[in-house]
Amino acid sequence: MSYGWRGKILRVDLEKKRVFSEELPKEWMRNYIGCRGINSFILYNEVGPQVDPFSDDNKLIFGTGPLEGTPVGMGRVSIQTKHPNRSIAEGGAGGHWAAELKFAGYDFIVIEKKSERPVYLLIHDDEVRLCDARHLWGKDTREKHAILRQETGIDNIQVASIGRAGENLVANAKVQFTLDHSGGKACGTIMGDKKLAAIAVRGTGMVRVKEPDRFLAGYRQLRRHLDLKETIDVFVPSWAFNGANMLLELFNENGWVHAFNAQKGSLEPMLNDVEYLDQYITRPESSFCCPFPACGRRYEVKEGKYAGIAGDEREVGFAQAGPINGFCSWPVVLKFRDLCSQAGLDEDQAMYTIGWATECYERGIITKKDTDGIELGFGNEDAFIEMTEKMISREGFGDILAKGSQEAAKIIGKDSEKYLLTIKGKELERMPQRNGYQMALALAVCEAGPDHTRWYPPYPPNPKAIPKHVEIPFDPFKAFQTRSVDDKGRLVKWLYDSRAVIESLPSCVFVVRGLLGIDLSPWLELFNACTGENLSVEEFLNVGERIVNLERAYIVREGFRRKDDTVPRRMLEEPISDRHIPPIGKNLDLMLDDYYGQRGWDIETAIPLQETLRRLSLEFVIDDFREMGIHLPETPVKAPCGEGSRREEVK
Amino acid sequence: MEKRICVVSDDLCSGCRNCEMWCAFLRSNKKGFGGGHSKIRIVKDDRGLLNRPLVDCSGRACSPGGEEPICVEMCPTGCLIYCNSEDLHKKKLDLNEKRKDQPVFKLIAPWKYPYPWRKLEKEEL
Repeated sequence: MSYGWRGKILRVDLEKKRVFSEELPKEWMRNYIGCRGINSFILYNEVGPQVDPFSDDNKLIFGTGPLEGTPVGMGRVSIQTKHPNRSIAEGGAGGHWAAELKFAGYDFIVIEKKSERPVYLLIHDDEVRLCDARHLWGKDTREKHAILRQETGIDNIQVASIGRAGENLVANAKVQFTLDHSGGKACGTIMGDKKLAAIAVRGTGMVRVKEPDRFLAGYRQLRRHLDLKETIDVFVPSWAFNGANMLLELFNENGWVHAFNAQKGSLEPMLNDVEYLDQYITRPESSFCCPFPACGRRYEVKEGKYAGIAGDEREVGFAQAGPINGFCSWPVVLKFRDLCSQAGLDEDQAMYTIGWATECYERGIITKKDTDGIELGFGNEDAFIEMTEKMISREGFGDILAKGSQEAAKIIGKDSEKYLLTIKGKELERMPQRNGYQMALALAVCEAGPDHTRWYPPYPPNPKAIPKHVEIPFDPFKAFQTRSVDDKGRLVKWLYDSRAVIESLPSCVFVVRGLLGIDLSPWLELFNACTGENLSVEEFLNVGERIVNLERAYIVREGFRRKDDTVPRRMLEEPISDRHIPPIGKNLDLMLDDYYGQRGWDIETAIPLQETLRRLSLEFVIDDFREMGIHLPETPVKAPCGEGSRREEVK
Repeated sequence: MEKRICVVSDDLCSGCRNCEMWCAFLRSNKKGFGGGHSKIRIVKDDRGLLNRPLVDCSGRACSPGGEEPICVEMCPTGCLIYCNSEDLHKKKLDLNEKRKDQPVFKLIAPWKYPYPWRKLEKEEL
């Protein structure tokens, strides 16, 4: 009997309309744990460099891990596929879907091939079948959810679905889980390409725990770290009610906002979180077993032009659509959230792409003729909403923007690419870079585009509050000095490795705060108690490092090199004009040298060294690279920097 | 008066199912989570308009000494409480009263987040 894991992979062949169940190999569990880790392993092995992202052979993987279904899992699912630009498309989402999948008896679903006609997958414990979904196609995600609940008649069934953005193959479309939880940029696009409208899941089984008393004690400990009164993390109480909302004001005061397509650092007046809580929030609405009272909330617009809009939100990133596009209005950003959520459109793609188009419009690169008569302009709220709608339906100029800003810039030309805010072809996720070099480095080196959840949170734990027995593999005082290159390599490496393993348990990265963010032992304790494994902290962290190296190997195999690990030109060359904050300049290169050195990767190419891959038991990657003729460096060309050699800060 | 597990107000329930999972954990003799063993269930409607905890339990099985049952302990918003009907009535009044002053009590119960609150100091940022 398996504890934690249910031990099964469900393989769905959309072409032949057949479903197979497969044993989850024990070795995978030990080496990659689950969720993001095993997803990456499956993707590496089964979707090689010869596979075109829009071909039959691309696969879409939904993964959970051993702790999913227990309260530590928090409903997290990781979705992975090959991104249309050949990098990794990976994203996590919350909700209740993943827990139901575990209760139904499966850890993973691998979607293979393509269907000719729209279908949906129904999983009700042992009953798994593909059903006709022509009546669902074209409907928004909330309608799909409601229809499937009524049609199947299964109590509390959870639905993962794509909206019109996914169906229309908008570049970074997401998958929506349990109404308004979403994740997996571009996974919705591939799901749309495969004509899979939805996956509805309900399970009545159990996720078993090996040592229940130890698990309960470990969980109580975890909750104490997040207790509003006891936590050492000053952001926990604000996060517990406001999500990223509290950051709006903080970001704005410090010039961290990408206002006017990141030309400025703040917007006046700025969206106010007190007003938001007072007028628009109605009640809490959480993911499965979220320990915070109201990290997710339900909003409602009661009056005005957009009266009647209601939905759930969390991690209020969508509110940054306001400053990026130069307006300050809660009803408009909520309308935007509502549109994106129903259509499965990626908010980041939409807000940054329209922000970029607006700047191009103001600079005269595009005119009213290009935009179908819409007067784009910073502060023009109606134009922003109209353009979002056009992106979803791919009408006129919206069709160009739906390809993503990088592709759109290729079509428009005329130096428009100078104003792009993209990394590895994907739009930013609202994280400041010129004011926080750790963030610039972390975003630049991310294997899946500028994904901030892979190294969250971006702020330091209060060094004074860290207990003496906790060993931190970097100097917290130096590493979190925001505009210096000191010790960033070790910090970012550690952030990536530790979060990779937590995302593979899985658990939610937004609770990785305070002591939980710097000490892995509470997580390890829960993992060991649940599964009966006996990993040490080093082995645990090693799993994280293995996952990151495997993902790096994946993008290396697709042709990504050091030159792709960069941040947008604006961050490197232009200051934040209203704050007199200088651009990053050559500091990024110094930090990259440091990071690759710490990682054991080749500094010139960002390819993992042979000895690094061997140390992490990734010998199959070495064989693979040899076969493909990718040169694998033996020893480091230059000594790793870390605490020393090439540390010369560029002002 | 007998203590029971009570729901203060549906709109304070975040639908997280912590109560359901931990109840199932204890009632399955700590075998694990899920499996329909829970005595408490959160009902959600098709359009996400409400979460309604359904519970009819004296809590005696898991708290023989009258201490806080596990569902109440794990409830993050304070929506579930363990009390008699008179105290329930008082808590409802308390919640409504405090909500008028502090909108945050739309999201958490005052007894779960009592004053004084911790404030962010400038040097902590």
